[in-house]
Amino acid sequence: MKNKNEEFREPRKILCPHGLTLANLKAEIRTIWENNVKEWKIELTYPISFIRQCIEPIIFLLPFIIYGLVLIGGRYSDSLLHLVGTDDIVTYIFTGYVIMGFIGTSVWAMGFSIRKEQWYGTLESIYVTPTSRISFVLGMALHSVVHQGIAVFFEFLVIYAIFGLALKIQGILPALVIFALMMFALCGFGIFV
Amino acid sequence: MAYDESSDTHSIQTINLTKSFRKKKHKGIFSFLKKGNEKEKSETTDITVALDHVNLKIRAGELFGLLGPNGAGKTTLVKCLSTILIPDEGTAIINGFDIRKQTTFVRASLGMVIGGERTLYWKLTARDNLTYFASLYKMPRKRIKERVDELLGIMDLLDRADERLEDYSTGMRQKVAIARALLHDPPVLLLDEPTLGLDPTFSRQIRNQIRELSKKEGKTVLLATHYMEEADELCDRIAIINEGKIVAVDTSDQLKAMVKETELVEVVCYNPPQDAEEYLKSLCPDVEIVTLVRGEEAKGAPSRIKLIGGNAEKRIGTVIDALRRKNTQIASLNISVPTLEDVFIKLTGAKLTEGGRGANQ
Amino acid sequence: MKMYPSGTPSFKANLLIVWSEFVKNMKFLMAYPVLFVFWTIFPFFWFIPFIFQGQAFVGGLQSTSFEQFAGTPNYIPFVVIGAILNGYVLTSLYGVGESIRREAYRGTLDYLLSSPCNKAFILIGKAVSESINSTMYAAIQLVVGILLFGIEVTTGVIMPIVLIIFLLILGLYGISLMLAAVSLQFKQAHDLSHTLEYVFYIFSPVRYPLQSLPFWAQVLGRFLPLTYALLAVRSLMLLKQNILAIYQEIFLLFVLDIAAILLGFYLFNWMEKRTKSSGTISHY
Repeated sequence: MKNKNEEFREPRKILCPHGLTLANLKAEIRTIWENNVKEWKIELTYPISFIRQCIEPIIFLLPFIIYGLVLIGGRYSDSLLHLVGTDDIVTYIFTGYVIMGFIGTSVWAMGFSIRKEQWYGTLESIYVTPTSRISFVLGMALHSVVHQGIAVFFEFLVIYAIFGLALKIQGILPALVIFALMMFALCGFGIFV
Repeated sequence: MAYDESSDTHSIQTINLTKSFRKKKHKGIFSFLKKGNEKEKSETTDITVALDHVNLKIRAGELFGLLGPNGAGKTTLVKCLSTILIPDEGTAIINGFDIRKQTTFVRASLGMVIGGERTLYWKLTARDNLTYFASLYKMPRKRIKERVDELLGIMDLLDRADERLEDYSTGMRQKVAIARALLHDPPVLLLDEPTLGLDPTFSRQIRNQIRELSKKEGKTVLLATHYMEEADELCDRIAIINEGKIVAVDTSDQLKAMVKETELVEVVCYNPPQDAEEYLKSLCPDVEIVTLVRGEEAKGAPSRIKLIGGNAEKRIGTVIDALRRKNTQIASLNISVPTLEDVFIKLTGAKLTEGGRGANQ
Repeated sequence: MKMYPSGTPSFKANLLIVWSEFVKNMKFLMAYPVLFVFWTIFPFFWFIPFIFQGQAFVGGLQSTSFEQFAGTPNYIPFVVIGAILNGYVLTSLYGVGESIRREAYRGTLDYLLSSPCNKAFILIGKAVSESINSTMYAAIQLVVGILLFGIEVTTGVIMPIVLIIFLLILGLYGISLMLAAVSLQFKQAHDLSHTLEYVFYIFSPVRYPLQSLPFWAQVLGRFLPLTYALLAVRSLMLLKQNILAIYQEIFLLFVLDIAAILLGFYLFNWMEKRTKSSGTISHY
């Protein structure tokens, strides 16, 4: 049994990176990546659910298109042309729905990330680590963005096959830039949620 | 990163740590329609003081036990120290860092086992779980694989490291939870009921590991438990906690000596009277405590009457006569070695095995 | 409460089971008041895009092209009625259908299934509470629909609509019973619920007339109780027809209900026996 009067030991040096240092930034980025990998590993243990989630956007997009075609009795709308400069309702709905999908995914994924960990039972175990909360939430968001990207790819294939899409290739790069700016803003909003 | 040499150098120190919870009672789905006194009766708010100005000092390398029944405040204390809960008053210093002001350093200084198997990802393998949490502790990538394999080897799980946790037994998952707490080699470990729900074999293995961590590796271990044998076997010192207050802090032998001074007599018998406690207390007013634990006599398990307090040994004759008058068959009579439960009863008046205010308080 | 010597509970005892299950589910709902607000308000956010879409494409509140399929040029009330009735589908699939899985998550399924009562009455209790919830939400949405979206309700259509909704609930109860049965054995109930929701979403005339779909899709749609409920309610409220004009839809809905309920009970009993043999009841 130890002597009661033994001198207390000095605190042990902590090797965990912290503050505004390159080492800490690297560690936080790695945390974001590892959270993303962890979510993918868990998701792929439910393959049916994964496939369903890739198909889901197509299912929810189709009624908008069918409804639009029924309303105007065809694909091209004069009213839409006056409003936005294009009369092709199918391409218009498709691009809008794709963007909306990323909004929902980012906000939902980030906002729900804490709840998800509570459901797993691992939230306290994560909270007790020295990693920042934001890195953890961004990791979940990264997983969701990639996931949504896969779903959009399938969506594009199906809609193109059934209806055809009138998209200009020279517009893709500027669109991606705007998209990236949007994702930054959404991440901020998602953290708030 | 340098530590503050001028700071207090206890490994764990709590200073007036206090935490209360508000709990609302709901009676009836239409209680919101009631008015006045009726509404007050059906919707009341209880304030439960889970920790009441707790002051503890734990030396570096010590295996310190926190012993108390369910609802005593053990888990609340552990959660406050681990920065999951913010205390209402007071603070604590862990490895020289304040839990209120230096939370990141506190988290980097400690490893925690709380909630056991449910705090891991069951859909991932043991290796994946440990690798993931190692990244959360900001361990260098090159070190992670080595450390994970090392810990899995220590826990004897290397051959099943790539199986999902959902296929593990409870004991194996608990070992993974302990391995997680050791990933970053912290100087301080907080263990909240690490052997809860485990069979004797696994419990023994875990206790041996805890002992090694403290003695061989010099880690400071705070072990919260309601198993008195565990605290008795492992801990250098034990704090008894009840209803949020620290009732006593000392070594196991010193705590038991408190009871031994006042004597402890145990009567093993069959068919004790219904009101045995009150009956014997009235005959022996100078005996401090009389407790009856009824056995399943139909299966041959006798009941046990314990008398704790002054002159218990001298009252043996009175007790035997009184029990015989009530047709009680006395199987044996002995002066028992006091247990920590007896200490607890003496200090608090309640049994260690009786439920408290509820779990996780 | 008396028990017969054989152990068979009395009818009163069974009613008590239904009532207890109902009270339990209502208490859960009260514990999450935000859920109540969510299910009342969010259906509006689901159909409002269709209204704005219609106005953008058509440039007005009526469409002659739409009238050729639906019999009415007023697409807004058409869509609102679809959303209100679709709410019953969602609450029955995710309410009753997933209730068995939720009991497994909570750890209470073993105790429910090992109790001596007839499990059908537990499920009826769940269905009753979910139906009452759905009707509360539907009533609020209908009032808003009348005030803001041009839906007209006369006293003469109220009783027929109540009958149609009652028949719809029966049919959905049968389907959700099948879903609960399958989820006893196959643990991914949420995916099953979603898949069924997709089927209703695409093949029922929730947002567009059934006639606008290809023939094969129309045939599939006619196996869904929601299709007949929507056709009947819209005939009454939008086309101003009387109940005699929709007797076919009501009859077919009734037939579907019987088939769904019988199949649902059969499947549930069969799956319960199967999972009890395999010992996987409380797994999730």
